[in-house]
Amino acid sequence: MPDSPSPNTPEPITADDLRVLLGIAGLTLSEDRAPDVLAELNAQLEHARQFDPLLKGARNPDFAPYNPAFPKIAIEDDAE
Amino acid sequence: MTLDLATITLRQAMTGLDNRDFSVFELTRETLLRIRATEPDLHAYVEVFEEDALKTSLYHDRAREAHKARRPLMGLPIGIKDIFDIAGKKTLCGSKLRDGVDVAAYDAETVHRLRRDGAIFTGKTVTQEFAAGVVSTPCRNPWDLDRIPGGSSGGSAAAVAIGTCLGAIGSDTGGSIRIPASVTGTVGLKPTYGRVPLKGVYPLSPALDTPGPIARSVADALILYLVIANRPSEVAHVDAMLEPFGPKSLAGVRLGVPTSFFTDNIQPDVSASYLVTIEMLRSLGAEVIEVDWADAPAARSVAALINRVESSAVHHDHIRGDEAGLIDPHTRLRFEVGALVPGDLYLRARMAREAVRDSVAHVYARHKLDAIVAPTLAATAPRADHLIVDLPNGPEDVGPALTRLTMPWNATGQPVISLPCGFDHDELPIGLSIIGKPDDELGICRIAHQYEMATNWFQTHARTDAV
Repeated sequence: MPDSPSPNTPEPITADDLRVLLGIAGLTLSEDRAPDVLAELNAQLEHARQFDPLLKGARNPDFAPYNPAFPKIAIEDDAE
Repeated sequence: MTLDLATITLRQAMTGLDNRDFSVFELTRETLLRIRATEPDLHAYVEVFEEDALKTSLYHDRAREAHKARRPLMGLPIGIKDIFDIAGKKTLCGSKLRDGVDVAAYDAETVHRLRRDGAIFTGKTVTQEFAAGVVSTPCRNPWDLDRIPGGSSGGSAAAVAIGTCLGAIGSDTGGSIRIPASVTGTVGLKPTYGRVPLKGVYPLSPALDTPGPIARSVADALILYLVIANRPSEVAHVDAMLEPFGPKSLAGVRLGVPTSFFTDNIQPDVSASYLVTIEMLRSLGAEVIEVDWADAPAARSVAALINRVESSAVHHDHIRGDEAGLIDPHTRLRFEVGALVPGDLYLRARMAREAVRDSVAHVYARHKLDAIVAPTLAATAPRADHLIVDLPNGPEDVGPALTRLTMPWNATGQPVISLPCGFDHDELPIGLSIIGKPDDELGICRIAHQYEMATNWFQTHARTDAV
């Protein structure tokens, strides 16, 4: 986990941000449910921060359908 | 062979039918009677197909007598999770939103393959609403009716555990086959992502959704997998495929034992059982190698974010219409939040998915591993009236607590089999996961089978008198 958010991942969402996002997404939300949604949304952004460091230096993706097959890997030294 | 549904496996029932120890009709009738006896307390089924099942059983008995071409599952009772279409039946997905839905016009492809190969469908099994969660209300755990059966394929696992079907089909997006298998003492196989078709399955997150079997033994799980993977001709060879090789049956097998993420913050009984299991695998001749996959937490995060965004897209109209109030509040919140995650983060999660796949591939290559073994879950079955899991680092909500160790393998898409490896102090089952390289379902089934044969866990069954 990086000490500070990567420039590629947004800062935590505030209640004001949430209202804007809800409007863009076309969602309506009662006041009493907003805190739960805000907490869960920030949890998702935390997930993004978790994997973001893996993308440093990543090539541009082609977004082909995901293939779980492992790539061919050459290991130079012997396995322990 | 005696027809005892408390203990009989699918493989044993195949032999019993072949030897004419009992007929398909008798097997079906006994299964339906057992459903009647247990359902008032267990609630594993949404709908039971009594009439259809009995009619089909008579057809299979006649076909057997006429020596018609044998089909691998001919006359065996199978449960189907209620997100898979069965022609002429409603697919309710555990949601009030679907109460008025029409019956399905066609079988899902997996259902079609099971039907083609002779399965008799006992009914639709309970799922968490839209397969999004781990509780599977109202179904309960046959080992302790005060506890949850896990989810989202909870009804399938509970039915298999108590013997109201001899195998069942579930789906796994974040652990929904392995979690219920672990907490009900059954065997769950999540195949390699993309290898079993999703046609006719109500989606949750299409980039992760994976149909697979829940069964009473490794051999049973492999049989069902071969059928739904469209390899039915191989079923006849399952015994040979899994043949034990003697007291050191795992000689030459290299097993990775991951540290930190998979062993920190798990319940003490789970940890103790896992350590005993590692020693057992070593005693069977396996070479056990400690490995560190540092990207496991990132892999979990990749799967979590993809899941949220895609499930939100699937339910785009549901969360914006008047019917949104019909969705369970927790499920609705999941779907709503997915709609608020920036699109570039979703695409970055897809890029990171390839990075975590490649990094775990390096772990396998670096140590020349055949498989990784890890606890399936951090905990045993939580109580249904207290959906909090007590872990060494403190209490945690049931969802993240039960999916923490399963989701990384959804991100990578590797095949995983979960099988029983012990019990906790409350006599609740504990699960072990064996994680293979992509497309090596047979390899992990072989390892699991050798372990299964060396222990008696799969011969320990939920007590019917508790239900």
